[in-house]
Amino acid sequence: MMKKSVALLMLLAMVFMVACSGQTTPPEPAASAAPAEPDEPAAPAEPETAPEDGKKGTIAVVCYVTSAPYFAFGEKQAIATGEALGYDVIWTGTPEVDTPGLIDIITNLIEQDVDAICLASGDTTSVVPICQEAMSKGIKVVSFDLDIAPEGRDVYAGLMDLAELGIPQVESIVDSIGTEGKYAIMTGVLTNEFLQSRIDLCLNYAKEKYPGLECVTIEAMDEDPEKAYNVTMDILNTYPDVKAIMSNVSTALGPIATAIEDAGKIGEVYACGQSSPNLAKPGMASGAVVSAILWDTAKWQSWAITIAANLIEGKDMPVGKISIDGFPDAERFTEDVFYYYETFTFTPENINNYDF
Amino acid sequence: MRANSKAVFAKSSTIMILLFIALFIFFSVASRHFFAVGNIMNLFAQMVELGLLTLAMAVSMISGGMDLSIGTLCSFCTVLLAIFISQLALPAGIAIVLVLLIALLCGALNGFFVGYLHITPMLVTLGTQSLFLGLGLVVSKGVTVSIPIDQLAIFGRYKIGGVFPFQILLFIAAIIFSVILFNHSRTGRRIYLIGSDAEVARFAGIDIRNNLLFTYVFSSFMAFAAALVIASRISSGRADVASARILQTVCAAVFGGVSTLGGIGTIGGAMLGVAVITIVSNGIDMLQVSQFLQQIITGGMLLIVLAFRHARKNNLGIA
Repeated sequence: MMKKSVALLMLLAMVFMVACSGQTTPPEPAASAAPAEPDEPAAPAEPETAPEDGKKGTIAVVCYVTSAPYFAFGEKQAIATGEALGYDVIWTGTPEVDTPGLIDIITNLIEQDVDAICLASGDTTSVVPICQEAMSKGIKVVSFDLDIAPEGRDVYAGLMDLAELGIPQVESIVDSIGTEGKYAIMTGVLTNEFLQSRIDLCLNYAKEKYPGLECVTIEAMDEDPEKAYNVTMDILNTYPDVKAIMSNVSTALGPIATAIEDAGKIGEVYACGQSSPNLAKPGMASGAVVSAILWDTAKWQSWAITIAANLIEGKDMPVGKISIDGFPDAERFTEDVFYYYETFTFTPENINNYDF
Repeated sequence: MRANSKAVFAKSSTIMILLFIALFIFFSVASRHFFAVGNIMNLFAQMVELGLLTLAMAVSMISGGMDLSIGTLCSFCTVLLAIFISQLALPAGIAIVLVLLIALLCGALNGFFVGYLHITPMLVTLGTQSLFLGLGLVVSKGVTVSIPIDQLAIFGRYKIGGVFPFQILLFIAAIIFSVILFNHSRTGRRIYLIGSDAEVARFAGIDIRNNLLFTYVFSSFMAFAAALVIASRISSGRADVASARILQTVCAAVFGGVSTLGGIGTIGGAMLGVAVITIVSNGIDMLQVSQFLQQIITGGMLLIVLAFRHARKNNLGIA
């Protein structure tokens, strides 16, 4: 029986070696991707363990739900961006929301002497202590996606003030129905101050720039797709002359489009506003959606890596408009907040290029 | 038969220890970051939360049930700690005592339904899982509640001599306490018998109701202890912070030889299960391997260990 035990252990060891051997070799650097030269490079702190293959260092991208297509879609581009800048990239995170697990992962990254951590966290405060520990050891911490408390990161690599996403949302109404007509707004929850401020911005922007647009109602879907469907049906019955229903969150557009289709209103009413591309695809196919907006989630990860690399190398990035390759409209908004202002409009022509 | 059963699980423990050592050696050779004092300390510190919750799960499984509520109860406790300390400005000591009492009350609620009303433990704790999550969401209004960073620091962030995480000592104390209670005391033997065959236990004159009540109160105590460590590490409380750990605790307990049918398994075995799962998680991070692969490896190892255990049972003629 002892022989069987030893055999079992050997088998397990082999499984591990096979499983791990293909993953530990850093990918070959892209031949065409020349590392960016810093303007005024500061000498980076020498890590305990030098990166392999003459790389400048290692940047980790940590996401709080790696199984979500929203994040997973960006893995390849994040690694390629790191390669282009001369860094190894560790792309990791918890497969599902698991804050203690996320903290363990960050702890392990600290132990590996990474040079920077780009972090998308599910909440603003839980990761602050471990991020402070990372910063105390000289690791640059860059938050992206949703920001975390400022004391837990060096900088936030943001897209824009997300309340201002209201402007392209209104533009998607105009793309769908023109500059005149009645529209309704579907938001997440009515008690969310952030979503409410975006609605205020939408209303003010539309009133100033497109006075022919009239908002007839603001409804909430409470993050429940079935409710979004039912509320859309109610809107279509109550306001028969409504021409567009604008989603103020990325999860409502799909059910709005389905309801428009089921109500036989294709070509008369359009779903528009914010959406992830996969949720918008059926509506684009049926004709209930002709324009939806979000951001390129993969590019956001590239943005965070780029900012992290610049911080590691001590590049000069003064407050105000800054010039960064690939991010022509970038701005250092404040000392610790960067924006790159690049929303994305999905149309039937380009939507199949995205899968998240 | 009982001697044979013991032989199987003694052998299982040996296999788990050998597996842990093999993994330790493998990761030490494969990763230049693994075998470092800092990481070894991290490795043991990372066992603490899962370990405390697995203690809670293992004893409920040994008693013939399964406490699915420990994750949300633990999360609820982190929320209460945060509310009491941050919003009600109670001293940390008083907040801890109050939350402990509430946690024990929650455990007693589970124990009452299981022991006194004879409702299937999984159904009871499925209900209280939802109840505790709901309470946590209502109390926290669905958001993360911060705790001042200097509060509760000792339970999850303090390192003795700047090296040794204090929570490891807490964990060791919890293991010793549990081993004495469940593997070397009359109460423990009664709970094993109840888990093995409740009818036989009843005919033996064992007070099933109060012993089951005690089991679930014990589980809630361990969930509370895990909450202390988590709240300290994240300096906050959140209604779902430990929810994802439930399946891991079942996996660790089964890995370590605790039977889902009750009456079989040891605290030590369950802790070996925790050790193996944690070293896989830590080692894979050190090797920079995908977290997705970690799930496959853990699941694969569990199946191999279960198959091995089944084969041993058959060889020894155990039904």
